[in-house]
Amino acid sequence: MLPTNFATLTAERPDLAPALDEVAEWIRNHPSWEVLDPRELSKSLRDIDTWHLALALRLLVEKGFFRQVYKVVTPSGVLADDIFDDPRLIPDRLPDRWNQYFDTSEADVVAVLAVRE
Amino acid sequence: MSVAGQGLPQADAELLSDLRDLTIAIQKDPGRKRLIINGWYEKTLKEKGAGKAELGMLLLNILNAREERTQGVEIHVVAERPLVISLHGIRTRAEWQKELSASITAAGFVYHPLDYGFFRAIQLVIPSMREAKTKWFLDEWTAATKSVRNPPSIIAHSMGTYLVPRALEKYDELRFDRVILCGSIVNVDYPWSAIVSADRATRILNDYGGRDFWAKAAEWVVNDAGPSGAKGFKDNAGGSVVKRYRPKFRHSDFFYQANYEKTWIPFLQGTDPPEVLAVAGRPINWKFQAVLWAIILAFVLASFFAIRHVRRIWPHDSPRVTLNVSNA
Repeated sequence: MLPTNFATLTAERPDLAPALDEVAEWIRNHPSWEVLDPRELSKSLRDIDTWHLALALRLLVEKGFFRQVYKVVTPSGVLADDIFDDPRLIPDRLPDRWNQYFDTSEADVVAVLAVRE
Repeated sequence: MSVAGQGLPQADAELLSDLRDLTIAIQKDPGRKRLIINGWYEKTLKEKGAGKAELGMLLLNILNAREERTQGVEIHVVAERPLVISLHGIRTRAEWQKELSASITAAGFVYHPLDYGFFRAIQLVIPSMREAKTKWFLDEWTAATKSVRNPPSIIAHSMGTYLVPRALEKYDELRFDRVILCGSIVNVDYPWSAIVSADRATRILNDYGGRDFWAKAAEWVVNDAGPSGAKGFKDNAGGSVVKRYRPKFRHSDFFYQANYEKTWIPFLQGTDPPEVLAVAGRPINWKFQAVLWAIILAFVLASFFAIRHVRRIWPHDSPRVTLNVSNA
């Protein structure tokens, strides 16, 4: 399960406390998730301002709770399995979940938060 | 829906601005989405560091998911980029404002050209009409600056140069960052020191020309006008009024791309223009003058002989009808 205890951070950054609390709550409600997808979070946490949500997620990365990695959206709309540390490392073609290769030039690149290894 | 509240630090406002440019670039060329994102990421990484590049990627995804990519970012980019207003002269709708638009936007400014319609010369003479336009200008300034924190800069020509100082004198709330005047009809003893010391304007550029007939003529028909567009200002506010004298310029000779890009935009960005090189007058070309006068003399003589010849053929006096009236 992804980490959910951000108490030290909320004390350090009270301006981001509402966003951090909401993120923690969301993770608790989605225990099977392997990565934190900002797109899903942004749809669910509509009360949190976009800017603050992004800052909160970035803070979680900077403080070592997560690492920021990149995934590619397949033509069917799900995230491909491959994970990249840098968006520039994404190859021109990638396999989807059925091992069919697709062109990544028009695909969305998603910055996701994964657990630190 | 807001992306961020007012009062973002400059660096964050710049990041939002960059993201806006990124989304526009992707919309224009969706087939190269990944390459465009990679280019943006690499540039941000180099110029602003990994933190900003990665925060930008997160923001992009969130904005995308909330479908705010253009709307939300636009609002705040508009709010944070420096605003430049422009104001045209009379008897024109100012094509130059359109010409200026591309350069000034590319330089990172939000551009807001004002148009008060076609203002006739006769309207300029009537004080109440000038007063009405000054109030109109205040209202436009108020609307344009509603969502910005910092005072805007302004570029004004001719009648526009009349409105800016008059509005500054009358309405204490009015504030500008940098002021560019060209073809100015403001009186030469305008109290710029008082304006600058009260933080109502940061710096003024007077782009003026030695052959500006209208700048010289304005004071003859408008009580509080003056020839600063031809002679400059007396009060330079301790150097805050920058003079750029162009000896051969007429009233509307300031409107060309190089002047926008080499003089005005750098001034708006904080760099004073270099002084205009003083070129000595050319000596009179007596050979050319002799030929010119010879041609004129030949034309006059030819006209004289031609008229005389015609008068000989067709005598001017019409035949007289003589009436022999015999005494009854």
